[in-house]
Amino acid sequence: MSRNETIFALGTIILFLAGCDNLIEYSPYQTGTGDLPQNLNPKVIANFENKSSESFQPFRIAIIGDSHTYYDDFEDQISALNKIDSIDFVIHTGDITLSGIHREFVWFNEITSSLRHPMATIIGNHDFLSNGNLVFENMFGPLNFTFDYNNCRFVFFDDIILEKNMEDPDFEWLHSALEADETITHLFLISHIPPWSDPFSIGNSFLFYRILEDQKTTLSIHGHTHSFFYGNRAECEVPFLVSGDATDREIIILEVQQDTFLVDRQSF
Amino acid sequence: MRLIRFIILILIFIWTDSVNAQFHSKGTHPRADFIDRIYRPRYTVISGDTVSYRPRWFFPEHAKIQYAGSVGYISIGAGYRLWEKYEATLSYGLLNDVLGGSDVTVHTISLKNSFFLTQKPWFDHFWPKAGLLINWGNTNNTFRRLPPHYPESYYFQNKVHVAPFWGGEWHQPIKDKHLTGLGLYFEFSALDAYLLEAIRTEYVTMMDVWSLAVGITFYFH
Repeated sequence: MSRNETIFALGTIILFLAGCDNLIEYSPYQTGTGDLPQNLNPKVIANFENKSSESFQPFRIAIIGDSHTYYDDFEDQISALNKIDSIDFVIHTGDITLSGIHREFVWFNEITSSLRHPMATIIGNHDFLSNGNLVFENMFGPLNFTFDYNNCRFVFFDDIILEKNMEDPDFEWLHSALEADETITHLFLISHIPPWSDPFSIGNSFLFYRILEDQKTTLSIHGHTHSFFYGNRAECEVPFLVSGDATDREIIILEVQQDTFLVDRQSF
Repeated sequence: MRLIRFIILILIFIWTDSVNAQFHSKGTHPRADFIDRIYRPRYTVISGDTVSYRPRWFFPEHAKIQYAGSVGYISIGAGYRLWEKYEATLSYGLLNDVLGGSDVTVHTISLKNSFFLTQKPWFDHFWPKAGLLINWGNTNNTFRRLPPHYPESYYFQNKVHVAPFWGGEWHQPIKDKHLTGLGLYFEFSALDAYLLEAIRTEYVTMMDVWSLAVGITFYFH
């Protein structure tokens, strides 16, 4: 064998051996095939039943978002989260991919599978590209969902508009999901796009703000803008918390107490 | 399981192909005269010169049937060897519920630009090849130009992807009425979006981006 033939043969053998699992890809737009996990969010919620208490207990959670394909920073972020013992779970505010294509979901799953804490994830606009929304739904379960933890309600709301060809978010669902009786201590909303962002029409923003106010939401948590924001806006009485992206190299810690909550930013 | 299903499909294909190839041009086959006629060279006179031409000059020189390779569960294509070193194949790939077990249907049109890497085949039969795929994927939420309801340059187009590939083909000449040879090939292709992550991040390495395709080429007279 000549030198070239040897190099060619070696390259082929190495690739065959190294990538047996991921080598077969029917299409970057494929759904329902491949080895992605299923129903991650419902599984996380089911585990809360043992962990959560009936009455309010103070707790801390971590918030991250917009990891996209910033894999190096995201990997560091996950290992930084693993070093924090005091949090009960992690919220990802969406955009886990860049183009919603197959291997981006595979890589996200590879990185997050080393996370020691449970993580609930909401869909982002990028995850909606090509068939990403279907892959996401297979992988994480229903796009809108809620759960109660230590007598606090967490409402995860899919508010993607442009990628659904201008379909309005399901505000009726949001209104009823946020409908909590007096006994619920705190009410948190999590959606990817904050209501003042581009995709929202004036009417949709207005409705979003009024629902948040009417249902006495404690804090509205978002991603999408790639820059941290915490505070009030003129349009709405409910405070907003917006996570930055993975390249900010920080983790937001939300400490929930009986009558208040504290926001802390930890760099890694 | 997937592989077994694919192998069965290939075997069926080869079997039906050989059945079709066994008829005789004179006698039994009802279309034998027609087939003979379309293969017969024709003559025309241009400015006093008699020129002969192959009547089926447009007929593709080869056809391919391929499994996987990011262009669908199965794809079929045909093409020409345009230069000594260059071969082009246009193919259509399908992925759906039955073929590939996907919840959605993806239609892919792919132009395979293959370059022969050597002057002569290795071991008399094996041609190492490399080239570029241009894949045009049709499914939900893929677009060349951003639909008008998006703000300007909100996303980069996600319908056309290019993918460099390398691989090789084992070519076996055969004696047949229609075929001059068969080729068994494999290819490793790397989609531009994946390749970009391999360059941009340390997490994704050059080992993570390849997609394997295997297929059969039929070479026609």
